[in-house]
Amino acid sequence: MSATEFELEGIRFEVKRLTLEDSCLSLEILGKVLGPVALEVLSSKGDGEEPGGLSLNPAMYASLLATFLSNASQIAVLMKLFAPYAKVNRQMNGEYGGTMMVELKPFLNDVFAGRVDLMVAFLVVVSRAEHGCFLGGTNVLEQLTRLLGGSTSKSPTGPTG
Amino acid sequence: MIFDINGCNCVLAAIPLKDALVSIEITPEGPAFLDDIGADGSVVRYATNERRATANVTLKGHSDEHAKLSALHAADVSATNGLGVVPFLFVDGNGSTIVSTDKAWIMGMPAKTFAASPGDVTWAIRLVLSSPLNWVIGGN
Repeated sequence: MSATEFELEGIRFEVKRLTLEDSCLSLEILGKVLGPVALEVLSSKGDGEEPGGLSLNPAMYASLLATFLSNASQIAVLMKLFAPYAKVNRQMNGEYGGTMMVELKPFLNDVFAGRVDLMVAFLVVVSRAEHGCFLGGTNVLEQLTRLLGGSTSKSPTGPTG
Repeated sequence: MIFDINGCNCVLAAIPLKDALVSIEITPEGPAFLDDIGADGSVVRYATNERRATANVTLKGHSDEHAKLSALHAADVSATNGLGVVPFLFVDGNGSTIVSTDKAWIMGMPAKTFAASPGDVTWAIRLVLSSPLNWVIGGN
């Protein structure tokens, strides 16, 4: 199972792909969290430099913040959904120095307590990695509509024969 | 004289072991000196150089610390490079007892009984003390 690796404020994360049920559930909760700007945010091309980077205009950003404030509890729900699939690096301060990747779930509060911004940034990156295919890029639905002889912008053609 | 378990701090790899703590027992692996006696009754004392100890940390079965310790141990087993050897510290805030080392590790997964109540779980943590000064049993 492929994994996404990224770093936020010096904290390294590694997140595996979700199971079928959790993937669908995360998409649903994501829609609630993001509200009307969901599609724009998730299909944003980003600046190409940072993984999961976004390019948001001020109006979109304001709309996003307003939605977060209304649905903040769903942010925690989404975090707990992704947590079992994630690992975080912990400074061991031990004899041999270095850091170890440990499961994120037991250390959720230690890593994210009081940092809603960090939570949101985490969720943006993992959500784009998890759902990037569905919301943009190599979308098999587009190929399907071409096979049916229509396009996504036109109304479906009637049956022939 | 004042002693309060809540005034004691026990930390392993920057993980404070506090939630639902029952007890912490720190036991040396063996004596610092042994002795031998000859047939003529002459006694020789020799240093064992034993620097190991075991910290048995007992937590209630519902403690939040179990998941953290499990994650730490799982990562240590997977790492194979010694990164799971971490600092351990126990300090009695109301007295002068202190046990500290930068070489400690979880010896293995503890036994757990599932019954009507979650019971207690005891984690065995190996300590390697670099100096006798790092283990002081003080009063209150």
